[in-house]
Amino acid sequence: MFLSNSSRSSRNKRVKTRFGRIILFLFAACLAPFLAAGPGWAAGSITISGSSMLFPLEQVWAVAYMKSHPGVHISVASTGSGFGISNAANGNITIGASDAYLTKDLRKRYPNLVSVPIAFDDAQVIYNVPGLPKSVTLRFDGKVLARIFLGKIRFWNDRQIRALNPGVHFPHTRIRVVHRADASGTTFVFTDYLAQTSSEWFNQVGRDMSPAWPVGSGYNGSDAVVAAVMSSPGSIGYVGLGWVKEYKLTTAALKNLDGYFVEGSVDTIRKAGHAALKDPSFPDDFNRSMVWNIHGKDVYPDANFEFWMINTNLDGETMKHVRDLIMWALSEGQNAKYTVDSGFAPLPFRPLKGRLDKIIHRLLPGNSYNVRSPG
Amino acid sequence: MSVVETGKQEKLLQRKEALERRVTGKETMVQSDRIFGWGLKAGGLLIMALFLVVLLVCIVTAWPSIRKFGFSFLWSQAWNPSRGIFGGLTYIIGTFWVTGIALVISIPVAIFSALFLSDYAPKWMSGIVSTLMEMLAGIPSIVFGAFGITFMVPILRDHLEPFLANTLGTRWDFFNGDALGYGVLAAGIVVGFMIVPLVATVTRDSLLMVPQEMVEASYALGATKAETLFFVKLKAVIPGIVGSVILGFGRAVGETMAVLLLIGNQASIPETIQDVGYTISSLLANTFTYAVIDPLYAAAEVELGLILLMMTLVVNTLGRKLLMRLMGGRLAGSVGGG
Repeated sequence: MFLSNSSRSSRNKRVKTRFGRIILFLFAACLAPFLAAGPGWAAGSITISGSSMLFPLEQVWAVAYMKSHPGVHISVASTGSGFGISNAANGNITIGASDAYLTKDLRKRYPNLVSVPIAFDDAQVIYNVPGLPKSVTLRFDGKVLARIFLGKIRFWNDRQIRALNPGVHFPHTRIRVVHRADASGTTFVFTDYLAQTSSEWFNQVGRDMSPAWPVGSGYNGSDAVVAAVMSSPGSIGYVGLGWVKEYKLTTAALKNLDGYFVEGSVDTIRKAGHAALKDPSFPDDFNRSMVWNIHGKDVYPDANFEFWMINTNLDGETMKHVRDLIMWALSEGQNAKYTVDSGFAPLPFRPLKGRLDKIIHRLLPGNSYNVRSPG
Repeated sequence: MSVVETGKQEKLLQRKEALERRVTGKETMVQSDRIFGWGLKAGGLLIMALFLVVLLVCIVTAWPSIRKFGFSFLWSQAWNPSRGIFGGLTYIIGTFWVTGIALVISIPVAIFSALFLSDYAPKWMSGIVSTLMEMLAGIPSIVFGAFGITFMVPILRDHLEPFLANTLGTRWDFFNGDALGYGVLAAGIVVGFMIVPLVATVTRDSLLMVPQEMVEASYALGATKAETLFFVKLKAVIPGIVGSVILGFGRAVGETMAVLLLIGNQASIPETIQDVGYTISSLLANTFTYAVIDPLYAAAEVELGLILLMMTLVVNTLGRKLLMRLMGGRLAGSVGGG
């Protein structure tokens, strides 16, 4: 009795020590990278957080940038644009990523933030109309689209839809509106287009990353929106360029300012950007992400800038790293292997230069976009 | 009375002294006991502090909304973040819809399966089913949500919802909605599945605790097996069932991921059982990271969270009271604790 007891307790002890060693090892393994990285890491550490839409692009950027710039550590997180803006303002993170620009209210609330455009994206309308051949591209204008999303046009064979699509045979199927449930930049871009083109929409709903949708059903994330539209006959929804490419979706052509019906693509989005930046009325501080009211033939009317929000109160050392990163992102980072492959269109580069000078100057006086200072 | 009590106390004291005398190294024992006691006290206080801190933080964060909208927050449907108008009725009612459907579906299923397990199933089978049920209770809610999307939604959309609309729907508008698949019915059914194991295990355990004498007495009076089950055993375990339903309510009312995936997240009050809706927890999960951009917006969402907390507190307290009355104040604490 006594013997067996003691042998058991010694076995227990042995197990405990082994267990203890494993714990110690795991602990050390967790700690090692921190110790090894040491002071160099703390010096060049940049945290980017915010927009879930920008997240994939930021990830490939971070990997490429850290490879070519040893000593700089970038950590990226997808937390939502609202989080990005508010946490860049209060200094919790270095760069806040946002799909939406700083509206007047936000500029008042966060006066220290500067928005830097870093990529181009859009919102495109997808649909699932029973019996419609895949080759048919539907056409919409802002007014009809707004009336659909307000629940005022309820069937696919409505007179107003048929008027825009002569020769297309529509079934008498109920329209099922599909929208995003989570706060989303795509939603902002889409509702901005509706608000700019339909006074009905402007008055009843307005533009927001999470508006009060009058009808429909909401899904968390663009993937869920695609799944819902594809699986329920009669649906209409919206997603960004990246998802259209990934799922090879048929999208609607939207009516632009000059009355042309244009489908969204890297090409038509960039054309919209070019045209917008040439327009003298476009604000210098980029505080208008939408480029809907732009003249031109191949100009997609629902494109937008994606932004990084920078706090002008960053300390000098951090600001230097941030400035270098922005410059890299706006030059090398615009390469199609980063932008287009992550579902974005590269910025229309040259016309941006003058305005970027001003923004970079405001961020860090004495520096501008074309100064490629090595550090 | 008091004489007896002092006598008791004296006896206790004597016993304690005897114990202390027997123990060597008296000082250290007392010391270690004291330290142990402090440790336990710290643990207990920490729980109290944690609850108070959570409550306090919620109230402070929600204060701008509480002050601005007052009680009208409870019965206003207006929710427009871009205009700074908030009212929570839509989400509160949506939460009740899902919880209600979940309970209506889960309670009968759970009671039937509990009766089957305790009285009808052969031993080998009840063992297997009980184990499976416990495993079912441990499945993460996101898995239930995925199951709902891939399995329940198509069935509801193509079969059950059109069927309801064409049969019951012709008489009552309540069942005559658009068969989308997603909606309060899908969310309610899946949440119902999630709480069946919870309600069933507690009910089965209470059924197994019914004294054999009662059952024998019932048989002796000439009752059949079914009569005994329904009128004797089931009646005896009503408090257990009520307690488990309260637990189920607590789970259903706060369920987030499965509901978020299935309910259709549309801020409108459902009029038919096929309609889409929105619950408090799915709203917070969907939009809270964005709401922090505006203090009032965040306050309104935290206030909804507080309402959710109050709902569980009220139901738990009422449930305990009810149990107390049903059981004559005996078992309540052990069953009602949500």
